[in-house]
Amino acid sequence: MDSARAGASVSFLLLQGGVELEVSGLPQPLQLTLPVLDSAELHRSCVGQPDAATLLARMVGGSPACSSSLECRYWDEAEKVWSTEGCRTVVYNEEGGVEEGVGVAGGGGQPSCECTHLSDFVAVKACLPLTLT
Amino acid sequence: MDNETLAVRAELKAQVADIGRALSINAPAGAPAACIATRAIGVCAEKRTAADAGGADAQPYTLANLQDPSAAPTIAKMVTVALDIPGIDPTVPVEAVLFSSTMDLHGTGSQVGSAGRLTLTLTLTLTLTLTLTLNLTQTQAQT
Repeated sequence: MDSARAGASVSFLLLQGGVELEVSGLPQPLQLTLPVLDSAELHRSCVGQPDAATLLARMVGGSPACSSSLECRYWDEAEKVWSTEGCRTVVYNEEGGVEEGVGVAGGGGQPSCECTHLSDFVAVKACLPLTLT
Repeated sequence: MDNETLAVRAELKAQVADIGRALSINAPAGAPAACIATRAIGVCAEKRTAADAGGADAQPYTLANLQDPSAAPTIAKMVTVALDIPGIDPTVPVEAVLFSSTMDLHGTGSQVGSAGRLTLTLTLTLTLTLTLTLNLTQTQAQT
């Protein structure tokens, strides 16, 4: 799947007495918003990984299906790749809750990460494979 | 990603941790976050007591987009109570460093011959920033 970085990378570190803590396996995930360089991208792309039912419902409803999606990725130090494994892409509303409609284009919400470890994070625009069968 | 680019990434992260330490080392727990920004990076560091560092009711950590004040800030919320994180000493304050970089190490850093120039530029920029930060911290401590 083709992908391109959509915004600045973000890192979050915790230290005690100047010594960095290795943080993983958090009982509750870290919630982190991700910057997107082109705000218009928030209206052009889906956010997260839309499932087939969401895409089909939009096509049936006459709405344009999204051909790309903004998703959260973290830097996997072991594999040396940007990965989605174990992280969830979400959109938060003003009350801090998870916004309904993730995966729907045109929402305009800020893509965010929920991960159980600390790392480097980035919003990536990934092209969704559109296949007609 | 080639080895040179990986080395640049590692150096960047190490220097950001140094800047975060410099910004927060003399700050009292609970003081407002100290932030610096250049064209390429933004860093905010904040020291809190371990009890206030995380939890559902804990204040989120924020990093304003100082290059574009109209843009939404980056927000990190540590929902887990910090005392539940393995290795945390509950008697010692926790320093949190939130860092953003617009440098594209996938693209620029991957081009042949560019990694060395990028490393030099990055090192000079961050060394200058760290020096200014330490001077500022010393000046504040003296006053």
